[in-house]
Amino acid sequence: MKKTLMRQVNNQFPAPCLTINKKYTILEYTQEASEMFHLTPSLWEIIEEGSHTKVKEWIVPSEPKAKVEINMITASKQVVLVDLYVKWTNDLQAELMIFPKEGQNQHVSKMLDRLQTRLNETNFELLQEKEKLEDAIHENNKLSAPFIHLSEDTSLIPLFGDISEEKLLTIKDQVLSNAHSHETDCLLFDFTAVGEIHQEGIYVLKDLFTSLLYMGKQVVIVGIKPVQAQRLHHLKIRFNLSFVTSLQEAIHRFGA
Amino acid sequence: MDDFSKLAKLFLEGNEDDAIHYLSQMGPTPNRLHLYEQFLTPTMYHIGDLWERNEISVADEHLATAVCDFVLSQLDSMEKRKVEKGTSKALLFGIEEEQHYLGLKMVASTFREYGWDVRYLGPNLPLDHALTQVNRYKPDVIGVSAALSYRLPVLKDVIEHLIHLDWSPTVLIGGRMAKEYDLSSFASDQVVVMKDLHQLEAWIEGNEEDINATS
Repeated sequence: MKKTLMRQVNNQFPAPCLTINKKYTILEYTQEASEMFHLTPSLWEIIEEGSHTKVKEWIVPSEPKAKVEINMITASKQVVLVDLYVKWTNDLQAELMIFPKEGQNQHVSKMLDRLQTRLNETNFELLQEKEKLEDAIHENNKLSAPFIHLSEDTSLIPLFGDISEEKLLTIKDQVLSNAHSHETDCLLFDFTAVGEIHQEGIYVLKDLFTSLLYMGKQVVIVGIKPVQAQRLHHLKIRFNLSFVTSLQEAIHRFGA
Repeated sequence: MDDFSKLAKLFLEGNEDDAIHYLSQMGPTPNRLHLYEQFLTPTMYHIGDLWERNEISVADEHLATAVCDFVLSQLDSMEKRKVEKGTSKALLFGIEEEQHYLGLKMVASTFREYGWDVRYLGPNLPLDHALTQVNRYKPDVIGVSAALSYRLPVLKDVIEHLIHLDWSPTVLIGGRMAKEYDLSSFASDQVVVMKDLHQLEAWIEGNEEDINATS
């Protein structure tokens, strides 16, 4: 096999130019090309993998003139996007002229990258804050129904804030297990510090009260405001539920 | 014109609103995974082909990617089916220098759909940065993505570090590389190669069954 030797030429344009044969072997190169690339006889060494198909498709004698955009690998191992101008001088040899596109594209794509990174970071920080907030709400919910032992028979559970489904689900289990372990018969649920009662919250409240009644507890609801009273219609469990206007009266009546 | 060509045209025009409108006509109840696998992924591959056919430039591709990203974020934020929020955690990133990230975002969305907690760290993340987050978050699953074969040595190194973490997280490998190259030599009890989102979905479902069976 004849050994191919590359040689530098000077009669070309002052730009990175190559002459290749149809086996993609480099025959000639300009000084600019040797400065830009680490040249070996094989053209493939300086073409980025993702561009190989494109080169095989477009740099062929049947396309006597072509302009293709491809990625090439520079001497410093950087991938650069270039416009490649191809001219076949005959069926065997082609001249390639290489124009890096960095000047035109790179600024814009760098800006885009930066914006994207910032958006991503902001998004990520927001997510972290959201998770912190969710934990805080959960903690807050857990503290919204302390179980206070008033006497042997009576315990007080003051509820705080809005009665939401989420909050009720958080406190339901702790109320039930406290009611079980304390063996108190009478539970005073104080609504004095309750704001709004949400519809979904009512359903969980109903579950909770029903469970307590099955456990043989007496449930006393204290300090309901008129607006809340209308909501509580939806409870629709009347048996064994007592209602008392104020906490003072409740404590007085249920002998704490 | 087939679906991908239509969608590709909208992406290349930078027409995100019409693209979302077009996808919203694909069914009354949007199945995210179906939209990703049947529309977005093939459309982006089609756009890659257009570049190979010398019909569009890399700048056009960048625009299409940005539009696809926007559409993907919109789809992801649409109402999800009600699932009980689990306790499983997944962390996802693209290895250093790897700029492709759309697939990774789809993976994040898929995990969220199943009620997982997800940390999506984006593409081009150096290993030490990734490890800092991994150690802080302690995920059950770490998803790593790579598209081009010359990232193989880096990928190998990343996996090597991840499988030796003391809580032994499962490592998933995805990206175009998983689709086009044989990565089976990486696979083990702890390392799973994911070729597409359907395989991922089956894996998540199988995994949940395993957890339920043992608990």
